[in-house]
Amino acid sequence: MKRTILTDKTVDELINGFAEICVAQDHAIWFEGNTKYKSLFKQMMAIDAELKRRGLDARQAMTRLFTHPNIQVRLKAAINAFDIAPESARTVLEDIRRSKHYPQAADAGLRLDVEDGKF
Amino acid sequence: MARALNEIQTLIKIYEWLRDYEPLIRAAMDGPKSLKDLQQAALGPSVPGYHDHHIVEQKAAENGGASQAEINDPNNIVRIPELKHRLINGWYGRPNEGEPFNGMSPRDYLRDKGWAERRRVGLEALKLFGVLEP
Repeated sequence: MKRTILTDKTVDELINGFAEICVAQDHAIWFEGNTKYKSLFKQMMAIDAELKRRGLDARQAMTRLFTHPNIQVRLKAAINAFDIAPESARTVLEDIRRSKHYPQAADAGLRLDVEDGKF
Repeated sequence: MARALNEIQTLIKIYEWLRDYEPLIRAAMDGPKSLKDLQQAALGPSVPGYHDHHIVEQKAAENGGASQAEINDPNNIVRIPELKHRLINGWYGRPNEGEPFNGMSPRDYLRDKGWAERRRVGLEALKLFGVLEP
């Protein structure tokens, strides 16, 4: 998804795009390296910014990714929706941390530690 | 007969793979240890499946003006599972949203920080990856 056309997308399209990018991030972590990951990270943050621009209802749609089968999707959805759905996001992050599925477990732990003032 | 030979060859390949990677897999299953234990392990001879890891990253410390004596001081080196070492190195290079990195990678965030902050993040990374006891 290019930044220039995000404003034309529906919320569903943005959420689906967010998930696709996170799945690609997961692949990049293992097989493509950090240069590819950085590009995908920027795309993900652009979608997050567009959802924030549209308001709370649009951002709430992110919570539907909390049960996505891919761990990177669940992680990024929970991190980026933590401020609007703190309890359910915390549950997602705690499950990921407990899984010991690294590196996602480490990033989940980082977010929880920051929220709890331990980092 | 040909099928049986193929199966035997496959079993030999699996055995060789397990023999080569067994130390890595075994080491990766280690639970978290104390800082003292990790530091003391690094003083001994090298062990398959483990890498010696600088708590304050070596290259970043050099760029920040730290001396080789500080960088290679036993206080800065821990022996950790090789697979965790690779994962932590990757994590240092990936952008991370939210505090404290705010979209930067830990490595970029630490670029203008002093030794104390680099060490703090280095120790936290070891905890986050289940290497160092909380």
